[in-house]
Amino acid sequence: MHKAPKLATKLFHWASGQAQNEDLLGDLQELYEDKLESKGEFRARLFYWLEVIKLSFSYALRKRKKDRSFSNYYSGQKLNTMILNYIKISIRNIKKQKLFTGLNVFGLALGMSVALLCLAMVSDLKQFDRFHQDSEDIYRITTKLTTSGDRNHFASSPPALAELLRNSTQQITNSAVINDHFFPTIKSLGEPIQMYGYYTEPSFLELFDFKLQRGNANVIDNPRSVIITHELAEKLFNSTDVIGKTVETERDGIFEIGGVLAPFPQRTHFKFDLLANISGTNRGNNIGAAGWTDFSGNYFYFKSEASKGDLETMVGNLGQSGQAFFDLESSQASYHIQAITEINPGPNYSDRIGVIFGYDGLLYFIGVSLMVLIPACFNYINMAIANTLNRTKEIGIRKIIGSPNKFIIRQFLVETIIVCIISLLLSTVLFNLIKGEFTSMLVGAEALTFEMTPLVIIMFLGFAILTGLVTGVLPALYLARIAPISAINNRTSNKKVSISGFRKGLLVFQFILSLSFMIGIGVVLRQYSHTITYDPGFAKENRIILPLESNNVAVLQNELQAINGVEDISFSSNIPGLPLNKTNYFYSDDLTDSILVREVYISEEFIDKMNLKMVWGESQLSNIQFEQVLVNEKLLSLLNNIENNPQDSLIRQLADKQVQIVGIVADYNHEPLNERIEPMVMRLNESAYNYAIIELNGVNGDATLANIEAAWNKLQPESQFQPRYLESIVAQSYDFMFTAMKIFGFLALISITISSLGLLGMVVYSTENRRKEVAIRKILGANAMTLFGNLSGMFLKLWLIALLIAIPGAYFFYDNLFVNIYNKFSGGVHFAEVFVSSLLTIIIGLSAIFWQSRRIIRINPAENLRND
Amino acid sequence: MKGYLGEFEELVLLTIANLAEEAYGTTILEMIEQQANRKMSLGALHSTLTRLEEKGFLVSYLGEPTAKRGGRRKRYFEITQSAKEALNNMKSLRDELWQNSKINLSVG
Repeated sequence: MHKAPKLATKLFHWASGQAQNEDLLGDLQELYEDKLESKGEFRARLFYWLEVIKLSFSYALRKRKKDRSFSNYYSGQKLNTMILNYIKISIRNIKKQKLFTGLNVFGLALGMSVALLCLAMVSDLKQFDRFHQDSEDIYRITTKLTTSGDRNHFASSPPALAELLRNSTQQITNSAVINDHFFPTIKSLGEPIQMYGYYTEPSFLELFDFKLQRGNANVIDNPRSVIITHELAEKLFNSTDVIGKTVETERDGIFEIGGVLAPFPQRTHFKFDLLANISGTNRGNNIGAAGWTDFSGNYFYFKSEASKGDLETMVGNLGQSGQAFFDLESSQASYHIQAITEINPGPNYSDRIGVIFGYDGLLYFIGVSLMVLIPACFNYINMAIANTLNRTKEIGIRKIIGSPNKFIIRQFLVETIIVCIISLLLSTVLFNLIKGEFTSMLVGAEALTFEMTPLVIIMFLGFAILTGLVTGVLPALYLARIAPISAINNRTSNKKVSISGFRKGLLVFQFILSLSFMIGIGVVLRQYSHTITYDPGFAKENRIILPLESNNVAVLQNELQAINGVEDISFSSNIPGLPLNKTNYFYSDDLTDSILVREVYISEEFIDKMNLKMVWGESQLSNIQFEQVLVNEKLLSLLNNIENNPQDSLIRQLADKQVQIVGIVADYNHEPLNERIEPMVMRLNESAYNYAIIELNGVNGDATLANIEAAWNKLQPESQFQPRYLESIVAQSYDFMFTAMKIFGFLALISITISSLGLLGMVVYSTENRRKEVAIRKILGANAMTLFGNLSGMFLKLWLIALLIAIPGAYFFYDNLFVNIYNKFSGGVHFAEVFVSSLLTIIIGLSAIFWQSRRIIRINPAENLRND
Repeated sequence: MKGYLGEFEELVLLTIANLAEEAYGTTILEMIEQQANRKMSLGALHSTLTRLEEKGFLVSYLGEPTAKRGGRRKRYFEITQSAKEALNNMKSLRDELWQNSKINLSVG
């Protein structure tokens, strides 16, 4: 026998795969011998090669390979039966391994919950503003302004351009101009209500599907009429039958209610409480330069069936006529068209109107959810691979019966998907628990409904299946690779005791995450107690705040002063310790610009009674020639000529009024500690008081309160007596920190759980692989403790690495974060939270190791050795 | 299609019938090459054999290994009853067509 070309034979073997090719090779060999005799070696070899190639692609071989890959037990055509079978086996396996499944389901559910929130939010945002009729045809103009290299994109557009567009084209079927600089403060009991309104025109209600419940759209042609929302009507009057009633505002005068809107879907970027006439104010001005360059807060929405590109060109051309005005400000303006359905989620433009969830915020959120989800998926992979030992026999038998690799891969994919779907159920429960918290902490999130529509449910399911596929593919490939013989012998190909560097890195990463989140809880807790105990500069003990209804201050003061236990009474427009919502412009001769100042109205006694310190001047105010005001040190520091010029008359201008500075108050935190101390002006004005601040002598507070209530009821029989202690009001204003703590707590809980699960997976993996080693050590006389120490060595090393990275990282991160948020800062990360979180992680880690190693150590060593 | 026999398939079946006990890949190929003077590859032949087996005209079994084949076994082929029927049908159809031919088909 002569040797046939070796490489060709090899190639043929490779091409045959598992198919039987003995007879074919025999035929080839015979033919080769014949050719060798008749045609010589070269021709024979060439012939052999050609025959091999032809045979490799022949139907004969294909058919044999196909036959080979299916035994009698598996029929490739009946996929449905197979899938049912996969599901059946998966469910049996899941039932068999309750602990593993439980850990996996729990881990994945935690990991998926944040991602579900993210998914539901995106799906909600996609629905925004779709309820308007022909919402695809509604657009707005946005403006891109380039000033000496600085580029800025505004959601607003010049009103002059809107006017031009309306007059010059027939393509626009409907349009509305909006100006959102309308923040009326409505006077009501106690606290004035800050409202958000739009100046617009009646076509607003035609362009958008905001239906009127009462009245008609044309009422806002009248400058003193407003249309209010259903919610506002309920809030102000407890009824929607309010046509003709009036609302009194602090700065914008009295409005008559001309219409009430029916409740409308929350999923819109518009956010308003009332609509008023745009031309009734000076803001609709669109002539000349002001109409072009002074466009802040002006928006133009329109409906057109023309294509977006055409509209953009048209607007661009029309916009050319205003460029001359922009040239004066050495800037360049260009205009773009944005569909109303593309606003959410959309780009973050400046000068925006309403609720916008920008791409960047959304990306950040997706990042956080992936940061939680990915470790959970890796855990599953880790655990599934660690769990291989329990599955090898099953795989071996399946392969021997004739199952091809892809069946085993499918089996594991189906199993992972089932686990993911079970996790989804748990995750949906979690999702429903956290979505309330989530909406309460996100600005504008009340527009998100998180409704469980069929579409959302399908998306959730799709997400679970996708997670299952992505997560399951790695363990499935790993398991399918096991050769049947070694599988049946329980000898996995990978007998390594060590764990790959990648998985170690993953564990370190998980430790870092949980350590940082735990330190975060500590930091927020410390910050909270710091803010509560911090001295804001005013006295808050033993003081009661009473919301005022009528302005008859003197009478109330006399009545209350007579009550035994009441030390003093003062009045103010705002509760100290809460945000100030009134601002005004302060002008000084030495400054070209005005200063934006906070305004607070106080009674004469306020400074004394709140224990505020004066730096200079007197605290008594009067209103004789000029209005006398007090300013704080912060405002003083912005005025530069006072110190240089002591003869200065201290007459300044506040808004359009001359005022005289008579005193300077030492800086104190009138606003919560997360606000910096801003320039502040304190004015005297009886009619502006909203609260009475009553100082008690601290003896028998309840009796005093009862007396005050009696007096109050005599004076104001029809209104409720609602006293609150200043201290508790101030404490309540920091409730938002609890939300931060909840977030940190939740994230810490998730990442600690996930990293513990990951650790457990690794511990199981390494202990299972070390059965024999442990058995031999035990026979040689090792006791439980030394074995335990041996196993935990690796973990301790990883834990130390995590500590080395996490602690400096946490110091850096939290210090920067909190310095930015709070101006009174507790000092950030302390030893206590580092210590506690380190201790907690190591306890969790060691107990996982202890649990697993105890399990393996307790097995009789003879048992472990005999099995091999 | 069970009953249908292609021209080449018919040729292969008849060759196997001629070879009787000695019908396996190489002999079939060589005989066809000599008798019919047709060049063809082993792959093409085996594909046809496989198709005939699927149709139920052939059965195959593995024989003994021989030294010439490098110790590999031969796969012998045998025709089945249904193959005989199909060949007969084919032949009678041809005979009938020959007989009923209105043109004289004889050459020379």
